[in-house]
Amino acid sequence: MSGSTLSVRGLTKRFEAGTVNEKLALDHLDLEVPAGQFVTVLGSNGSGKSTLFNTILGRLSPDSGSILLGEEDITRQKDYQRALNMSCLYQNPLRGTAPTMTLEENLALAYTRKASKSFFAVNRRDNAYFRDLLATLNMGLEDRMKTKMGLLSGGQRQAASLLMATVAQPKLLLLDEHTAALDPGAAEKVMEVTEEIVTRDKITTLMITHDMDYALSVGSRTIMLDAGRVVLDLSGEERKKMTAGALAELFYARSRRKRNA
Amino acid sequence: MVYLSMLISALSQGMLYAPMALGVFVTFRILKTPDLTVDGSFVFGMTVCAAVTIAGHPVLALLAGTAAGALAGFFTALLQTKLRIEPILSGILVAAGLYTVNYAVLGGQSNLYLQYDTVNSAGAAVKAASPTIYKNFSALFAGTEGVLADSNAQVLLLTLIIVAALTAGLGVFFFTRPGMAIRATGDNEEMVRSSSINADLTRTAGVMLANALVALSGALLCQQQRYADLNCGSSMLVMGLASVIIGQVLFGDRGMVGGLISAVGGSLLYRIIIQAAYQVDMPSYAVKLLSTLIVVAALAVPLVRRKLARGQRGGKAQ
Amino acid sequence: MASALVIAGILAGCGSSSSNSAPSGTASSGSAASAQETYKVAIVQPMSHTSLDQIRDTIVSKLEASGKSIEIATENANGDSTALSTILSNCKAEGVDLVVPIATSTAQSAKTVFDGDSTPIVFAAVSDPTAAGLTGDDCQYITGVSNNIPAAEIVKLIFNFQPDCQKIGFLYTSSEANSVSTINAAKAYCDQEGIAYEEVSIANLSELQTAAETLISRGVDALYTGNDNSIASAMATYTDVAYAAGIPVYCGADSMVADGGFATIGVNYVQLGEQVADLVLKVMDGADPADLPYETLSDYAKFVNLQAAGRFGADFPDSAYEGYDVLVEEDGTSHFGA
Repeated sequence: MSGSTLSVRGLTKRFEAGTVNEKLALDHLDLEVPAGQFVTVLGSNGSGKSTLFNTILGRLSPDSGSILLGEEDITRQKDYQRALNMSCLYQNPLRGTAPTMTLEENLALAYTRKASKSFFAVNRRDNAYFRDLLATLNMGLEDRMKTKMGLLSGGQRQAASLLMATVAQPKLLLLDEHTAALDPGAAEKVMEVTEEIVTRDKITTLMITHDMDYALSVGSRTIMLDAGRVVLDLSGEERKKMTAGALAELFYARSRRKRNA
Repeated sequence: MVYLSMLISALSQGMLYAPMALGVFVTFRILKTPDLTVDGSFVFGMTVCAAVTIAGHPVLALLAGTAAGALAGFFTALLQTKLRIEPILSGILVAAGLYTVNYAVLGGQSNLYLQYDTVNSAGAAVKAASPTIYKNFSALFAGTEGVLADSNAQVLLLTLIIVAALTAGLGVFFFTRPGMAIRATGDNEEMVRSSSINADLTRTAGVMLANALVALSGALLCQQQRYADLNCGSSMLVMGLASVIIGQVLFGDRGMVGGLISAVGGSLLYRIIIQAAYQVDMPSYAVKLLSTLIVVAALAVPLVRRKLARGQRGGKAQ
Repeated sequence: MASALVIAGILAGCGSSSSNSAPSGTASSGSAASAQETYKVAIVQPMSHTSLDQIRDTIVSKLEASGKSIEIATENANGDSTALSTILSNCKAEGVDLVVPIATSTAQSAKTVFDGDSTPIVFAAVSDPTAAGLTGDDCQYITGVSNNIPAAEIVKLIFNFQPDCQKIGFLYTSSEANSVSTINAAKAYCDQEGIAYEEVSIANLSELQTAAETLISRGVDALYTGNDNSIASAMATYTDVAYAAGIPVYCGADSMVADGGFATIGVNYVQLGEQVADLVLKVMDGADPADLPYETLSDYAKFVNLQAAGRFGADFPDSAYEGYDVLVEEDGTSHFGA
């Protein structure tokens, strides 16, 4: 029921090498995340956050370096193979679900990796499990299991996506600004549920956010990326002392420096 | 009475093409990719069925024809997933290649009648008609009177049984794990990969299934008309699309099982319309235009419905 | 993307078509009011094309000239093979007394549709009725006229003008049953007689030019194409390529010579139509189709095109032209259809 350690060592990724548009997205990035830790990730556009996520997920292959999940080196594994142990939630609520299929069908699909051996994807045993899970959200979704995903609201869809991402008990959870596109009420609700599930199941989590308050209040560690490297790593007392304002200052100072350079 | 027999004739034709409509439904509606292999795999099913029927195995011939379609679909999917070739182009390439294959299966001819060489009671070498499932089925009705005495009615009945079983089977299949994975691949491939399912595999399975269905239509037609001809595949995809679209518009969007049934219904309705068009003394070019207008109208109906609904609700967007 | 495909499909036109317009026949919606004496004949062709139209028109005019009370309906599937069965079903439902299917697949579909029925079928222009399944024990009501061209005659045609011919080039459309069987017979004859040949088949007309050029590059002295409906409609392209290289084009139908081919020993479609009409009249008068085995042409058409001869620089002796009717004069005056 717990997440694994994540080790990123010397990860380097170059786009369009050798051309005028060459960009060094990841620059020998090192990151060690102990099991069950919830890390928030900051960084301006182009700092390498999305590239880092895509490389961990297997959508991109790095030029050099390695990624280890627990003891296993997953650097060469295909994306759908890695998906057995990790999930990702995106800003766009449409992205992680099949719109014309119902909520229970989507959950059944997401659960495939760990599901019961029944022939039919949607079956009573799994459904009972899903119903209990949905009930914990307190959003009334357990009564809408036969609704098509496309008809749910953004917040409902994202909450359902969160469940889909965690129902198969992943070892690693990646969250890419997953509340940014929701209205404040829904965003708060979804963040609340996120923290609950992550803490309960002790899933190792990385969350990209632009919200300075979230960055410091959620989870137990905050890192900032810039030019493909980790430039700031706060945890413990140092993190508690940091305020949102000071953090923002650090953030902008980096961008100012970049502009002037 | 004349109209009844014409109706039965149209329905029997529509039922023969129904598996093809189901196949087009799988690629067009479920996988949401266009598949142009259809013109080739239809004839492939026909030629393979002809070869096996002449060898004396009518039921095996149908299975062989269906398998041939699956093989064709496999190659189309291979081009799409491994070589990353555009779906439309993959289908065209495989269909083009199948032309040569079909020619070879027919033994270097373009037309093959279902008959085999044998010796008659006088010892002379003659050709005897190969047994087909329709011929064997008709033997059950020897001597009956009424509607079932019409050979078209017998064809309709046997094909209806096959299509009904097929539709039921598909309806169940798409709620099993592999079936749902195929449905999701058409809906959101990324999500399928994120669920740790190999999306290339599910796409391949879907395209193979679709072309197997199309080839079954070709095989059934071959046994019914008792010959295989290379020219039979032209404009098959268009006919299949027209059937699926007409069915969807007339029977509405009623989920997976409803969609399958509406594809079959669309195939029947399409043949009825064509048959009716011949009855009215239309000049030939007009019939083609009529078919075009029917499909355009069918495509326009949802838009018109939406506009009317919006008008009634005072213009509130959903 | 899917809707773009559908639109493309619409533009390509879907469905099938038929034509009820005959030169002087009437529509097939039976007139119950007319006397039972009216004999209903349906002539069904798979596509529009000079030779097929010629057969149809000849049959129609000969039947009308007979003075008997015949109601003729002509149908055309306009290239859509799926329409054949629909058209024939309609004919059957309307109670035609006799069907004249033109071409192999039409005849095969007719046999299936009228199976078990006693309606006589008189086919026209099927080159190999036995291979097509039209001559067995279950074909009691089927007879007709084959347009088979004996293979020996084809080769004789070429050697008549070019006794020193070293290699013949065969060009045909692979999806046309009649054309393919003619070429196969010719090849078998050549193998038997030890005559060298090359062959190229095309799947559609866009390949015609390349195919002809390929054969010429392989050093053929003469080109031969049988009664091939597709190539017959593109004689201009074919002959342009061949005659520029000085290679004569021999064909299987007089219409092809009229359109630019050099010479033919082949099917005279008027002759074919007349024989079919004669058979129809015999059946009408009470003859049993089972007693009438299918006929082959009693008279072959031997035609030359002198204008074509000029185009490829012919220098054949006058004796070679004996026995051949001039279909097209040197100046281009055509006697085709006369």
